[in-house]
Amino acid sequence: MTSEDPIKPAEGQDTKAADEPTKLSWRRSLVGMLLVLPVLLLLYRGLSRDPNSVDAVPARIGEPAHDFTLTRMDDRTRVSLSAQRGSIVVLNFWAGWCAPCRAEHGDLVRIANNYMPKGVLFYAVLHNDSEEGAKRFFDDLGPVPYPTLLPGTDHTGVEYGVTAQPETFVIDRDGLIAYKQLGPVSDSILRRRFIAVLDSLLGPS
Amino acid sequence: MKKRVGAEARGSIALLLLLSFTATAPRPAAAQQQPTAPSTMPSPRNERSLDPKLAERARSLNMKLRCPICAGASIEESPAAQAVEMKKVVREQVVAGKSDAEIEQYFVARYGEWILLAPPARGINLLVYLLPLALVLGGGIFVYKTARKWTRA
Repeated sequence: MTSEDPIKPAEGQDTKAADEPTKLSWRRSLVGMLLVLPVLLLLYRGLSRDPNSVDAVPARIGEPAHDFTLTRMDDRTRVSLSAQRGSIVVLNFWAGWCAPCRAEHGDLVRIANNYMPKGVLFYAVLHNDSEEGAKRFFDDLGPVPYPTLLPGTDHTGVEYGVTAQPETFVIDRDGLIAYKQLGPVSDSILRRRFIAVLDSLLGPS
Repeated sequence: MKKRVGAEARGSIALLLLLSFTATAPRPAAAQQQPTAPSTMPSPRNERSLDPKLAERARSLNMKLRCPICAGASIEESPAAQAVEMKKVVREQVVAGKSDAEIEQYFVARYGEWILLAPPARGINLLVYLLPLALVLGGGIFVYKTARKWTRA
């Protein structure tokens, strides 16, 4: 790009290029590559990311799950996570007004019906909604075969780093976060990671 | 071939510029941190019955935290349920006497660095701060040299 640059600007360049198409200033190609390379790296990094996870997600896998004590909607008893140690626990953060929560309801109930007999504990953790909202949801779509926990005062959702409903956590027998699903769970073939994690935690039966 | 490389370089400059713009977009949030007199416009539903000093601290912290639902907005500006919940947490921790750094750390530990609207200027994040500067400088030099070449011809 200095004045000694062998390439003369504009005029005559096209015909010259046609004559000797391979003659390329190494300096220019180097500059070009240096400019293109970071972009390619950024694109590569972006493409290899899982769109269902934000950056924060992998960092919390393997960390102890926040121990909450929340009230069950049905019998008003208190449930704490630490009391479930030794069992695989699934926490589904949801709200009655949330459309993706409606979308996942059928699949989630089906998955729960499959895995609860194997000893996996499911909890619906009501998040950013009231008990009335939850009731309306169950009236519309039918109940869930597992307990619903009402919001407490410990900001459970924030403790879990919930960004938006629905988010589903799998907690292993030692109380560590094994998996976090952003967005609806599904038993469709394309989005089976949630199920795969449950299977691997359960081990061969 | 020559033309192709030029076009590619131009394309990547445009892309980098675009990236740097999106990267610097959160700046206004950082600008709000300057210590000012107690806010003239406290948001009433969030900071009611809070000491004005604490309310101002909560507000400036809110401005630094990303709303997980809205694109590029802070929780202060967001009426989303999740942001309201997070504002409650900030408020409680401010009242409990936690320092700004402790409160930020609380959110970073749970959401990752992503939750901060202005990324800390270290490591790869430095790119966000230095690249625009480098591009402006480089662009200036490029324009200057090209203009000189043109005027000489």
